[in-house]
Formats: sequence, structure tokens, C-alpha cells
Amino acid sequence: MKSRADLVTLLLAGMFLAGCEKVVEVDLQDSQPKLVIEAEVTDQDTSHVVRISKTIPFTQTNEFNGLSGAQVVLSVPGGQTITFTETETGIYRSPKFAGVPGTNYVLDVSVEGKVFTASSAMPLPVKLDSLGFRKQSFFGDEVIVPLAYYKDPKEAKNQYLFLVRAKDEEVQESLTEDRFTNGNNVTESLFTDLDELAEGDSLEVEMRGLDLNVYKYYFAIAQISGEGGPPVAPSNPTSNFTNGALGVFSAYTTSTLRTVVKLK
Amino acid sequence: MIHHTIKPGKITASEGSSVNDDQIENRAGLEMAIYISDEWKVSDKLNITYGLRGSAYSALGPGDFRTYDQDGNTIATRTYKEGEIVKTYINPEPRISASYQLRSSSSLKASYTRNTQNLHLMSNSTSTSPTDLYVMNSNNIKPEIADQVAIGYFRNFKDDRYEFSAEIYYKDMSNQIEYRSGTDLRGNDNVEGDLLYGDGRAYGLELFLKKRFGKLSGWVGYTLSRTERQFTDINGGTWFPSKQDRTHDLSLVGIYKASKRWTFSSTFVYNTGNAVTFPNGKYQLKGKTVFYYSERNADRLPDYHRLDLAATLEAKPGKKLQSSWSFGIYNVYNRQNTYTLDFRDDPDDRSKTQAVRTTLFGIIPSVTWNFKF
Repeated sequence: MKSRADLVTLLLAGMFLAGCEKVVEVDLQDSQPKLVIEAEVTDQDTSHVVRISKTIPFTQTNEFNGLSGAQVVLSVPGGQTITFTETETGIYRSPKFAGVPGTNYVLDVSVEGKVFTASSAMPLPVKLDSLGFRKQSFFGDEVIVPLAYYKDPKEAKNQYLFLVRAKDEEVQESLTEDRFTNGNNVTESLFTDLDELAEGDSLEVEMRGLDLNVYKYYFAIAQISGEGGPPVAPSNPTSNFTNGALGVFSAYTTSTLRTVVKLK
Repeated sequence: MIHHTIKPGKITASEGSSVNDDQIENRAGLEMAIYISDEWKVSDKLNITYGLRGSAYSALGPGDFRTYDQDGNTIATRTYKEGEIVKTYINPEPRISASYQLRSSSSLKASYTRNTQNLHLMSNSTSTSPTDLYVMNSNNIKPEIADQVAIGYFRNFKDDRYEFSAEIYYKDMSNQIEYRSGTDLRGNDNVEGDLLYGDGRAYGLELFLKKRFGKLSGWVGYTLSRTERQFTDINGGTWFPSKQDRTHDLSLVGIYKASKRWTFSSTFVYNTGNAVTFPNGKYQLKGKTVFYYSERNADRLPDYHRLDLAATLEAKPGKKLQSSWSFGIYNVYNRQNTYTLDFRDDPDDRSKTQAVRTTLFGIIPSVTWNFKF
């Protein structure tokens, strides 16, 4: 995930580290596998997903180490509960329903004799108005940068996650908040890693409204991976789950627009 | 008496930009100190110097000063007027040192000092960066206090040809400051909510031997030490090594005057690598790899060592322009010392993760021409 200001810092840091790089063997101590819960509820009328897994040793091939046999229950103020059922190993789905913005959802996960609880308040929805494009010079290369237009509500503290998919493939995630733009008509530049975004390519932008704790969690993850400059000492981000579970529960609103790249 | 003003940050946006102007509040403080000391020659052999420094620091308004709960959330804010005192810290700093002459060529020294520090540099990485932040004492940040005791034995050999010393020290520190993990440092006007406070301690043995005269001269210094920190919210409150903790630190310098004009020198340094935090596992989140860390600073970077050699040729004496040529090789055996170690997905095979070492310098030859007139 990159945000505008981070890109400049990252480039500066990159220039300093122009020394030799080499892949090396490091002796790492593998810890006991830890529980990871990735859960979401959105405002779309669909089946929502909770992924439960365990951490794997560093040297192992990246994979989703799904954990079966968990009880996953979502509660709403007022007492109503919704149960998620396991459809594949580690993947638990709910029946179709649309999350309601402004609701404080509570998720309880019971597995291996322990209970992990998290709560997330779904923010009020903010819609993407439109998409645009502009040309930007980047170290001699001309790149096309997608732009997202939206109006940030003044009354609330808003946090957003932008997902950019180009040519049917996810190319970038961008995390931002309204600390500097509260109440304004915002033009969000969505820098992507993609070398050539050409006229005529299909582009899809999804804007998610996140609650503050979820934003802080994703921000910490980006920081710890070293994006946006050298990180504050690496450690685990603060999950909104109790009892030491890793991962996060996010109740978010979503707004998606699709377009084709064209410069005016 | 010093009056400090710190301007943490300011955001200026142009017309029509979607960014709002903002300014992080300035901070002001007043620092005062007085010092008295006396030297007391107790006897022919014993000398004592003692003193007391009084340090006072006042955090001043104008501004909003916040109080936080354990998780860094603001629980109260109080606004102060210009020049109004937010909080005053007064710290006495006694110090005493003694030296005792054992024989004509050896002596024993001992000292105790207390120091306080009112201005703190918050660094978030291994090197200075634009996000380094100066903070002063406030209603939340207390002055850092260090107490140090040291004892040393000094001795010269063979008509002062050789100099030897051995010292041990112990330092006790309180009110140390660290960032909470995941702190956002860009335009952050609430940094004080992201600070953690704890204790520190350092102790060690320093040995030093120097040959002062002769064709071959030089010195060797070795330090065995430990510096650690303890914070309630880090590593479950156990003592952990500070990033710059160096168990072994060795320096060797040799200078050989081969002839009137040729001098050869060599330097060898060796030190234990910095304490760092390595991942202990990984998991997938939103389709990307995230690393799991179980303990801060439990690992070490590889040891750092390096040999430099140099030869200097002095020009024939008597000329008006005194010059010399130096030929040197820095890092003679091309040791790839680790500057940083990063972990990432293998770019050629996204299903694997790898460790990548960055080295700044390998072997570097150099030629220098010096002159004086």
C-alpha cells in the first residue's frame, strides 16, 4: 500500500540504499504457530467472509494455513446474531445480508478452547464521484496516473482504502485519511506500480470506508513492511481482536467505479 | 538560562488543493542551571573533585497539553496561555571523582555522576531522516536521568613507553523514551500519546594498551559491555538489549615508521552487530505476506569487522612545499558488512520469502596527496 507522501520518502530512502544487495541465509527462530483471523462485513448485499489460519515458518512456501472447526458468530446491537459456516478449510461464510452503516458489529470466534472477540463500527458511506487520469513525469518516464474524485464528509473522521485493479489484475492498494482534507472535494492520485497504463486499458477503483482502528492496523502493517521509509521498530500491529489473535475485523462500506483509461 | 522553542511541523497547501493548511503547535521551554565545584587535595596521594549542578526545566505555554490513558487515547486537554508554566522539573546533579596515586607510575580513579537531559531526540530508524523529532519535557515527558559509577586502574610501563588502563562502569537510566509500534510520524500533533517510558542500564569493562614511542607504535582497545532497556509494553517487561548494544568492541591501530620517508599503518576494527528484530513466522492478509515478530531486539546483525591498510610517503625534506602521498586500501579483505537486513517476498517466486542484506562499501582503494605551506 502506498500513499502520495510516502512515495517521495520511499524514493529518497531508495537512493540512499544504493549499495550492494544480496540474498543471504539467516538463522531465524520459528515461533509456535499463532492464530490469524481476517474478517470483514461490508454494506453490500452478499455473503461475508471470515478467514481463520495459523502462522507458518518463514522458510515455508507462502500459503493460507487454514484452520477448521471454529465457531464464528456476528452480533448486532439489539441481540440479533448471524452464524458463519465453514465452506472450505479455514474459510467461513455468512448467509447473504447487507451490513448497515453506523452499526457497531461484534464478532466472536471460538476455536481450540479459546474465544477471540473484535468489534468494528461500520462508517457512514462515502461514494466515489468519478475517475480521471493525468500524465505525470516520473524520473524521465511519463506515466498515466489514475485519479479518484470524492467529497469527504466534514462531520466525521474518515479513513479510506483504495484498491486499484487494472487489466483485470489488482495492482495497488492505497491507504489514506482525511486529517489534511476534511470536508473538501478531494482528488486522490492513485500511483500504481504498473509500468505502462495505456489508453484503452480497463481500470477499476474500489474505495472502502474503514473504521479508525482498522485504518491504524493497516497503516501499521504498511509501516512495518518498510513502505514509506524506515519503520519504527518492527513489531506486530495492534489487532482489534482480544486474546492475542493476529489479523483484523473490518466493517467497511464500499464504492466501486469502472472505466477505461483515456486522457482528456 | 536557555529558552527553547521547537516548531514540530507545518503544512502549507496551495490554492485549490484538496489538502488543508495545518500547523502543529510550537512548544516552548525554559532551562536553567547552576553549578558549583571544589577540588580537595586530601593528601599527597589522594585528590578529590566534587560538585553539584542544579538543573531546572519548565515546560511553558501557549498550547494544548494533553493527558493520555495507557493505550495512547486522549483523556484530557488543558490549554495554557503564553508563558504560563505547564510543569517544572528540578533535578540536583551531584558528581564526585577521586584519584589515588598508588606508585609513581600507577594510579586508581573512581567517579560518580548524575546527569539529566531535558531535550530528547526521537529517532525512528537506524539513520537520521526527516522524521527525527525533538521533544522537550512536558506534563507527560519527564527528564531522562542517568547515574554512572566508574572505577579505573591506570599504569605506565617501561619509562612511560607503554600506557595501560582498565576501567569498569555501571550506568543506571530512567525515563527512557521509545515509540509505540506503528506510530504515524507525518504531521502528527499527538506524538506524546504514542510514547512509551521505561528504564535503561549499561555496564562494561574497557581495556586499553598503548605503545607511545619507537619504530612500531600504536594501541589496542577492547570493550566488553551491555546496554539494555526495560519497558512494560515491550517484550512483556523483560530487559532487552538496546539497538546499539555491542557485546564486543575491539580496535587495533599499528604504525610502523620504516624509514625517514615511509610510514605504514593499519587499523582493524571488530564489533558485535546491532540488536535487531527478525520475523519468527508469517501469514497471509488480503493476499499479501505479513511477518510475525515475537520479541524485540532478540536477534543480531552479523558482526562488523574491517581492516584498513595505508602507506605514506613524505616528500624529501627541505623543500618549501611540504607534501606527502598516501596510498590506502579501506576494507582490505572486502568484508560485506551488513548495513540493513530486510525480509520480503522473493520477486522471482512470490511463494517464497527471503532475507536481503544491503552493504554500503566493499573494498575501496584510495590515493591522497597532502600538502602544507
